[in-house]
Amino acid sequence: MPLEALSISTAGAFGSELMPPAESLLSLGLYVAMAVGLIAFLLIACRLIGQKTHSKFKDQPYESGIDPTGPAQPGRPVPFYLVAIFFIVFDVEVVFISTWAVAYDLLGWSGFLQILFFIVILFLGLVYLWAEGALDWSPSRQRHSATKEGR
Amino acid sequence: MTAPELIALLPLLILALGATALLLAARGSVGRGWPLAVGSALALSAALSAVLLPSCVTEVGGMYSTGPYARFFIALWSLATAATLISSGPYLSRRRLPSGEYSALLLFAAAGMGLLSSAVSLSGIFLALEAFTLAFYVLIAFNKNCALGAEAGLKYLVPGGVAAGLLAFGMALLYAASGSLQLPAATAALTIGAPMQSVALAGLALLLAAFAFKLSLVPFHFWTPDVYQGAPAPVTGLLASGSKGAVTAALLTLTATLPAAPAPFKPALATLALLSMVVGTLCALAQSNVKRMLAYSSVVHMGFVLTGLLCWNHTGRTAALFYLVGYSIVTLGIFAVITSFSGEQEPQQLSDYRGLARRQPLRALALTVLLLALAGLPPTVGFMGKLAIFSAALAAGLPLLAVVGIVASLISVYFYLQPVIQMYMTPAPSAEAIEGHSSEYGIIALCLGLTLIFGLWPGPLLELIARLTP
Repeated sequence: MPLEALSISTAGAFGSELMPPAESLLSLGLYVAMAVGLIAFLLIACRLIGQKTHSKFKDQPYESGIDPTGPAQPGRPVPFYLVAIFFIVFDVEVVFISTWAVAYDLLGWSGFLQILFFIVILFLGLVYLWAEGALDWSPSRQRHSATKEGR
Repeated sequence: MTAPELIALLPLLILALGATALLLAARGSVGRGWPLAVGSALALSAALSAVLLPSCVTEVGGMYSTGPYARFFIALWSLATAATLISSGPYLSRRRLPSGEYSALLLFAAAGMGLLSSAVSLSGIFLALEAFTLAFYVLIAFNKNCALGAEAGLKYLVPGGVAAGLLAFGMALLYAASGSLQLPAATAALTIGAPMQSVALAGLALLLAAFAFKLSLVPFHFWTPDVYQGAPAPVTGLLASGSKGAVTAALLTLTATLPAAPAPFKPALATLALLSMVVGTLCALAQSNVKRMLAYSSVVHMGFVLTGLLCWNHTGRTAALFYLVGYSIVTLGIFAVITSFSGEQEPQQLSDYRGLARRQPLRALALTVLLLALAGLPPTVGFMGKLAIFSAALAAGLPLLAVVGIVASLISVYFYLQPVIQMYMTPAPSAEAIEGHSSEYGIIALCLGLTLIFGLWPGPLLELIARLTP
């Protein structure tokens, strides 16, 4: 169906009438060459004539003048990640439900039962999350559930 | 969705709904055994219903077939999942991992793998592939106290996302070229002289790359060793057998719909197979970690399976499927042994296997036979599988692939014998022995028995597979 509908012909000079003129292509090419050349020149010049001294203090990451403390990759609690994931799950649910709702009269009872199945399964997922304590936002409750599970 | 269709889907419904119910019922199940028992009972009943219950319809929703091919694989992956569930009880309780979530995720993965093996449309392939891959993302990083596990999870997630993107793009191009997502119709656009053949070929190339990611064919194999190393041993067993097997089953359905391979397609597949066999073997030689060695060995074995598919005839496909079934049995057995050897730490380094034959003679013997089956020595199923594949390849005029495959399996004997040498020829360190559980012994004995039975008496299985193969 899409073939006839789109009626794209692959034979011949497809899209040749859309080709931009040669001068503008040339100026684009010149511009690209100049940009790349300038960056390459700066990098190479830095490498060739720049100073290369290393010391303990110079290699230290810049922390606004304060000595860096602690590891760079500490573990962090991720409740916001959970919220984002819940949002995505139920957002996608809405996408499917509204797709069904657009054509509910054509899909009939069979379609209704199928979307019902989908909603029920996702609802069971919500029940599971709730029971696991994933919806307890307050820090004290989270700590409580974490110790309860022994993780 | 009609009642006959629901009955046809019954094995998958048992798996998916059972997993949902188990997830809700078995919360906080650290150290408990009953979710694993219920999970394996569900998987076994799914396998039984797939074998016994006749299907009145041939396909469901135009996406999934319910024919004997689909039923066979649903039963096979359900059985593999049941075996994994049964043998991972002590492993989970030693690490204090929740067995309810574990069982539910494995059942979800089994449902996805069954769906993928029965897919007859591109959208069906995509949905099923994502269904079981999602379960595996979680399962690989299931041990939250293991840093390597989290790393492995991420390393599976990122290539998995790339593969999903390639798959969706390839399917979109095939749809644009053919106007259909059904498999014979969608690949009809690949025949020479069809309009937009080049677009369809680009789509097929992307599709192939996505499959190669999942099958970890060289050069798409980089995630494999790290994921195998970091994932829990029972999960690795199912990842190596079920996940790759289901993808191969879908690839076989895809290639069977192409009456003749489009010109650039066959050399590309042959290159993937050759590279997988050569690079996989050479990398496996250098490993001192047994799980990484098994990862590279799986790369090599997928090269063998691809050789069978490349014959492009019924004999080759039958040989590939037979090899796949044998490889799945052997791999499940090997990872069951590694699982049962796991104390606080999994035995990953070769030195962890020192002197195990003296302390655990039965399991050491089982591991030896299973490793030799991977190497392809008679009288095991590995030998019969390789015989079938290489004779099919020679008959189909692929001498290069056959010769490279034979040389690769000769070299592979070296690295498969490394753990065996450690177990039998070196003195044991004075560490305490890890007692095996009877469930672990049962699964290991089952895999070992099937390896030997199908090696000595492959006729019935080969006939069954020849009847199923499209």
